[in-house]
Amino acid sequence: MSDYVGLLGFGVVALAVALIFAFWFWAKQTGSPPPLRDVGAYKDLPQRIGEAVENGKRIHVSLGSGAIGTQKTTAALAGLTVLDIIAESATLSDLPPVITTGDGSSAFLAQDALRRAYTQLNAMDRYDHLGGRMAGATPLSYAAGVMSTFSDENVTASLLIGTYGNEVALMADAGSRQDDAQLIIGTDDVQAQAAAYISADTALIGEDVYASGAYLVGGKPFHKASLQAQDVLRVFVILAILGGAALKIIGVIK
Amino acid sequence: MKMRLPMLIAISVGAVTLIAYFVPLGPLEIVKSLLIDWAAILSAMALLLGILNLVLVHIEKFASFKPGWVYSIVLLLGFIFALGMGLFPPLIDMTRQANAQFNAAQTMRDLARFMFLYIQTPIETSLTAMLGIVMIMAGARLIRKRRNISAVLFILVSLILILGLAPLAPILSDAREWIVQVPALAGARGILLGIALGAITTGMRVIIGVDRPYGE
Repeated sequence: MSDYVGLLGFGVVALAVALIFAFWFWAKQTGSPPPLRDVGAYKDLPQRIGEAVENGKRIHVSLGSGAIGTQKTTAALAGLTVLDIIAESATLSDLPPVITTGDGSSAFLAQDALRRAYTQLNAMDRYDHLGGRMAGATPLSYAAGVMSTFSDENVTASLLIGTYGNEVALMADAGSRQDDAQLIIGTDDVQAQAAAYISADTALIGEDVYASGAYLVGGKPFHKASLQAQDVLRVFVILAILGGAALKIIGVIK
Repeated sequence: MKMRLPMLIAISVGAVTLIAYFVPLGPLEIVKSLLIDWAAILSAMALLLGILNLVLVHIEKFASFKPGWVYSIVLLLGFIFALGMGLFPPLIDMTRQANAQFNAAQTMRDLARFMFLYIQTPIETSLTAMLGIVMIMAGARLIRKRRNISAVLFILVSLILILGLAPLAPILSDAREWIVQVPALAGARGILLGIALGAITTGMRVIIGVDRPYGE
């Protein structure tokens, strides 16, 4: 990595942190953070969880096959954020939620999220450590494991948020065969997003995958602040691209 | 204090690794390498425990005859077989007489190879082949599911991309080429930039301790 690239990277990260804190401080001072645009998946999710709890059915959260500690860590963390937020309400159902992952580390983090939710509810006797489980070690075996979860576990709503390849279409096909089941897919892979778009009830496109905390009730003010920081950074990136194109047109950049 | 300690450790480790990535100073580099090595060891251990967790899930499923328990038997037998084929050959090699006629270790290695080549690979290939059909069917269902302009556009573009591969009309091939090289590439780059920014802010939330997937 050249010095300039390293410095630029550090600048982007430092700017992101500064913007997150700035928006958080602004929201704290004014008491009213700017409104966010609608994301259908996040709007329907609390209702879906409520229905599952009322009908005594199960919520399924899948964290993808990306392993913690690799380049795919943040996608798994995005799934864990959703799990953290919905775990408490999902555990109220007669049937406890089931969490599937393709990686050992995220399986244990999922178990921990469930344990925390049951502790909050003072219902540790209902906690099942096998509720957070590894479904398969390779992407396709993981897909096969998730597909059987749809049919065997009486699932009414499934959230697949994490790293998936095109095999997500197989999972979505299996999920759509369940009567009245809702399927929400968010992935960090561009090709898999296309597969998710055609096969899921709702697909999270682009950075929406990382925005769950800002939209779901139970998210922290920092989540909204980080989404706003993300939007500002995007404007900077657009300006940089347009500026670069303009400089090339006028011949400053060869 | 008990609750804050994991958070402090996580924040310090995250911050040191991140700073060492951008500012590659000697001592920081050493600490970063050490931390990454520890993370790799922990991940490997977590994978082992994850596989144990997978086996326990299927033992429980089989023992209580839950739906799909028959497949659990297949998984457990496959697991025992694969584990045996991987674990025993080195042990047999150590105890084997040099002049023994029957080489059990080699037979086991051959069996393991057979399992990967003629069972796992064909199954995964079939799943990949099914993927094409599943995607076409999902595409066909899309119009019924979502009656909006983006769904119509999606189907239209997909048709041009598929037909553009066939030697039907040069205009279709040209249209395909243009779609792939210009709007699809631009769109994919835009999505990737969005994902990268989302990944940065998500990572930063963990490093500053807002998101704590490791517990409260």
